[in-house]
Amino acid sequence: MEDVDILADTYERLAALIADGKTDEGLMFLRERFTQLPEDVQGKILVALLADAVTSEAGQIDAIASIQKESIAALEALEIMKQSISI
Amino acid sequence: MSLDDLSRVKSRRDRIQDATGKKLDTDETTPDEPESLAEIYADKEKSARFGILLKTRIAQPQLDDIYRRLAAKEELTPSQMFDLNRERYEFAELTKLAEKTKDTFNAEKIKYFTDRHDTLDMFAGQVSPERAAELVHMQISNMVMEDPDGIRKMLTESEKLDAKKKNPEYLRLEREVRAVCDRNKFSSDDIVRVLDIKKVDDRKEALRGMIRGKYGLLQKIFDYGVGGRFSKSEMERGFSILDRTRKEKFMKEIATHTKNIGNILAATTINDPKFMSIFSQEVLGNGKVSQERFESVSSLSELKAKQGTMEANDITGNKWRQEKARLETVHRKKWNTFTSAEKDAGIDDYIDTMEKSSAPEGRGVFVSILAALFKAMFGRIRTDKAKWAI
Repeated sequence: MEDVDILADTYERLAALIADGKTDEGLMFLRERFTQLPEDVQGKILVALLADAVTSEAGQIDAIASIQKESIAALEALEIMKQSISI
Repeated sequence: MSLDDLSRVKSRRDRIQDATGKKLDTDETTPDEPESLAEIYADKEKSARFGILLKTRIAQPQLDDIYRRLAAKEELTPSQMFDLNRERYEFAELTKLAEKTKDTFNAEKIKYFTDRHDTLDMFAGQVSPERAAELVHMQISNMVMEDPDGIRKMLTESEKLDAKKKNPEYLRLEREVRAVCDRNKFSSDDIVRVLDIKKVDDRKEALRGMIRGKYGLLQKIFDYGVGGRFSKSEMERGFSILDRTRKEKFMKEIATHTKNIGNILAATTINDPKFMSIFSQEVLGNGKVSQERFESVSSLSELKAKQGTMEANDITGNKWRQEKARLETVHRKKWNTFTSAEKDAGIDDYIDTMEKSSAPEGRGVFVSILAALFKAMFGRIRTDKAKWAI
């Protein structure tokens, strides 16, 4: 397939899957196609995913910190409960 | 600084301000003199990148005229010279931004993110880390010319992320968690066992079930007992009315809950990035977060609407044949009797219209990927347009 044909076909099929909300299938399809795509497009896909990874990791750090704070607070609450029960 | 030096700096500042139309702050360091237009055009790669920049900053008809004059070795108008000179300063600034971004996202850092993020790994993992870095770097140089804000955002977020990891509060919490786990001998063994499941999808599902159950419990206890809602004395009064059997049952439950929450806390120290990714996604939004991060609802509906009006494969096929027939009617002659200039204008207008009416818009990583495919497709269509003139 020529560059333009593979780009058109990939665009068309990926857009259809995403528009239907089938993002997982879209990713699997794109993964199959990845090395057949022209280099510049491969690079742009990687940059888009890299930018997403940076954003997602920042959210991940906040989420983990929030679990840790809540867990420690909950453990303290359980400890108080334990001390409050005299058998 | 001597008077001569001061005068040189002043004249350079004046020249930059005149060329860019920007007013430099009094304390702003005078940037180096950027490369001349002749130097940019002598280098094939720089010239291509400068072309990308000009396309985003100068209207197409004016740009076409600049290229026509350059190709015919005609003199540019003073206003065209002013525009090109202004853009070479912008080009120099964006080239610096690209270099800084490439230094930040070096092969090691790209590998770090690839190891920690499944989706990136699905693609970057298909090539060596060096090749992934090469592909990324090549595109950062081009993308900075068409979307400098996007590249700046990526760089700023990475810098913020690094700062977050060095934040004393973050480091203190890390130490406290490890101390609490060590003191209470909390273990994440049951969660670690799930990580042994070979099939990725089964492992993810098992982890999700475990995290949802335990985290749900954590939230209940947090809501119930945290924040001074119940003081120790209130609890003592409440428990004092219970008989011994009920008290023992409570103690048993407290022990179970403490162990379960301890598991969760210990799991936050597991050094497995892929696990952490699922873990935090579940906590942030029961698994929906990845979907929301990828696409906003409006992007999806926009895309769906455009899907109905566009058949990418058809752009060079049926749609183009219909457009040729329309042009023949308008010009009252057959396509093969059109002059080259008429053919060129017809093809350019058609490509521009198709590109503008069908380009994907919206937010999210999928829209960025579709936009990359779309632009590349139209780039090739433009390059191959000679074929259409037949």
